[in-house]
Amino acid sequence: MFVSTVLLVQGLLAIVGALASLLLALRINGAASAISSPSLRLLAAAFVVFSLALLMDALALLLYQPPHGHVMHGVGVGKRPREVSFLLVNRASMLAQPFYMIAYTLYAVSIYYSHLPLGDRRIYSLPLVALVYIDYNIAALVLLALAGYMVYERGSTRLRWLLFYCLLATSHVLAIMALEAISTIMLSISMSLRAMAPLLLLVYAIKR
Amino acid sequence: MTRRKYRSQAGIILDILEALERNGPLNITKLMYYANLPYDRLRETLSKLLEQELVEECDKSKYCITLEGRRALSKLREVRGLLESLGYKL
Repeated sequence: MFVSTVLLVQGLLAIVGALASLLLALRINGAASAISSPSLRLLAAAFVVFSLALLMDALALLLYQPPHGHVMHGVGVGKRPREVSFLLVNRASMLAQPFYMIAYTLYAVSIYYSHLPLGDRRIYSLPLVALVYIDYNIAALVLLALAGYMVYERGSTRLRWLLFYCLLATSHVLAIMALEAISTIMLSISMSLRAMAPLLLLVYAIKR
Repeated sequence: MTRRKYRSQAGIILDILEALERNGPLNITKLMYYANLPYDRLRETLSKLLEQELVEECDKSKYCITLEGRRALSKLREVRGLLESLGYKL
């Protein structure tokens, strides 16, 4: 019962995070249209994709049903193994992983593109991301590290950026640990951290 | 390793529009000073802003911000904090 309530709260938090991401995307797109900036458009697209990923995570959390087969069929009979139960809650979350990767790639590309002189088309020389069957969280961490490097090289590193970045990175590290420990709670905390990251930015978006 | 200190394109546009809004019509030399840009970079960005009608030539060799430019500036100011949080250098 406690687990279900926690998952429900985490799921709702993920929905709020998705809505916050959409709001941020709208704001950034407004500025992008005003000055016809392709890099800002890419950033807005990154937030839209991030929001889709959070919505899928929210579905994973809200549609989760704890195993109860053993109650009807007697001890041990029809009992769903812990691993299978974990896979079920993780099913929608697994679908969300490529969306996180796309969002982080768009973020890194937008930072790269934003500092190029006008008319420079070196962006097309960026290698395409090969989507292979690997742990998406590790790939997401690699892409986040790339985005972080881009910010370090070309952007400005502020405390709030560091907080945003750490929330995302910690959420993926927790997701990797959750897969190792087969822990549903750890997985939902990981999703919640991802949902909180855009909420943190929304504060700065409203302040102005 | 030394970090490059380039502003983003959005940051450069913001600086040009702010310079024109605060100081009125400016010639290219003064605009170079206020926006802190080299001549070639400024010419390139200015021609883009002229094309988008965010800036216009209002006097002989002087540039000023248009109404559309003021709107764009206010939208950029709205997202300034947000973009800086995401690592954009404005």
